[in-house]
Amino acid sequence: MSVEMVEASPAVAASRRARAAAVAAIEDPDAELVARWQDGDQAAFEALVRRHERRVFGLLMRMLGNRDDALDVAQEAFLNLHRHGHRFRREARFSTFVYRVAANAALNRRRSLGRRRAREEALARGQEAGFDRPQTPRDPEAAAVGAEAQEQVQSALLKLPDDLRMALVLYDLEGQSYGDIAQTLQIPEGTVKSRIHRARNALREHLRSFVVAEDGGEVL
Amino acid sequence: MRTDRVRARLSAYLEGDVSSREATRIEAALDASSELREELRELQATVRLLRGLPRPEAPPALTEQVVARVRAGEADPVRWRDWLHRLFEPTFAVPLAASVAALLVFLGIPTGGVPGGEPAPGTPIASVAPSAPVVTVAHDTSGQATPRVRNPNRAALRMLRRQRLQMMLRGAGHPHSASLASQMEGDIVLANFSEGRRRR
Repeated sequence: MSVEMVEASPAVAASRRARAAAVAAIEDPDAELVARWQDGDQAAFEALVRRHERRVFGLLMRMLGNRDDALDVAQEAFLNLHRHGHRFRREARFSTFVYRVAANAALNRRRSLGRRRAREEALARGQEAGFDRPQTPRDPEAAAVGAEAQEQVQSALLKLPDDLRMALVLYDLEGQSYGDIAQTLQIPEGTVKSRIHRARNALREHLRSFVVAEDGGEVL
Repeated sequence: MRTDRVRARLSAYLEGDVSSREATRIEAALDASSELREELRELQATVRLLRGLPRPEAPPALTEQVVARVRAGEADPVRWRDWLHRLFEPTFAVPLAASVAALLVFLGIPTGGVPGGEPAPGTPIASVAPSAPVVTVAHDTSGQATPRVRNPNRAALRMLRRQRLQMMLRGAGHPHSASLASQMEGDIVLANFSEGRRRR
């Protein structure tokens, strides 16, 4: 795709360097691209979307349960990101900001659909067509998790309340730290921990029969 | 340490989110209870399953679709000019103008000389000829006579009020000011009537 590069004036370049230096303090790998984007470089925005699309889409898939909704909300999230990008002050990593925008978009979609209806629809779709199979595993161990197990876990995830599921997905699937999740969801770190542990216990309850049956009583 | 308390803290224990003192207590409880040990193993298996879920691939065209929508202006910030433009859309402007006009009439604020109004300040836009009230007698079902007072000035006052409403609506730029003023005037009369009934 052809992109236009924006020539920066010396003053703009200086401010860009100053901002990049400030951001370097929090070790943000997106700092340079963010600085260019905030100076009007649309190619930088495109690069940022490309860099984060998989994370955003993954989070939305786990939150919404199907590809169509996830794709729709992912686009809306990136448009919102572009619309409100000037508000990003680089006091946190850009990825945290992206997660926040995506998390808000997901929760808004869930609210608009109605929790109960969304859950029932997602379960029905999952039972009819099977959940979308991921193409590449997050880590080598993932290969050990079979298709049925993935389906069971996704189904159990969709039974959790939205706030618990969001915290669990960000921590166990997206690998965010407690601090990052607290910033993303704008809640205290203690609340993040509490939600994760409650979500895990609830998930264990939902998966108990599967976990035990999978290995003839010997837990996986 | 109580079993239900230990059960609630098992996930935190797995993550090392407990103090060493609490960890010692949990381990003691685990040593003493096969049920708790089983729950811990289930929890470990659940977390392993969860973390083994692969991250879904984003659709190949996602970035291109987003960039295309950005270029189409869908991500442009909403400017105050857009809001101002919306103020003049009929769906918003008509109720707004009507509300403002009704409020002004209700508050009794003089509206002569509204921008766009024809009469110069101080010029009477209608005259109401003074006339005496007309008293009639009506008989109810029991045959009892009831006096009724009819004020012939009321019709003239109503016309005056309608003209002022029209002027205000024209000032607000509404193309159907006459019919809207008539409708609003009817609403005001109805409201006065209802209020009178309530007082009675």
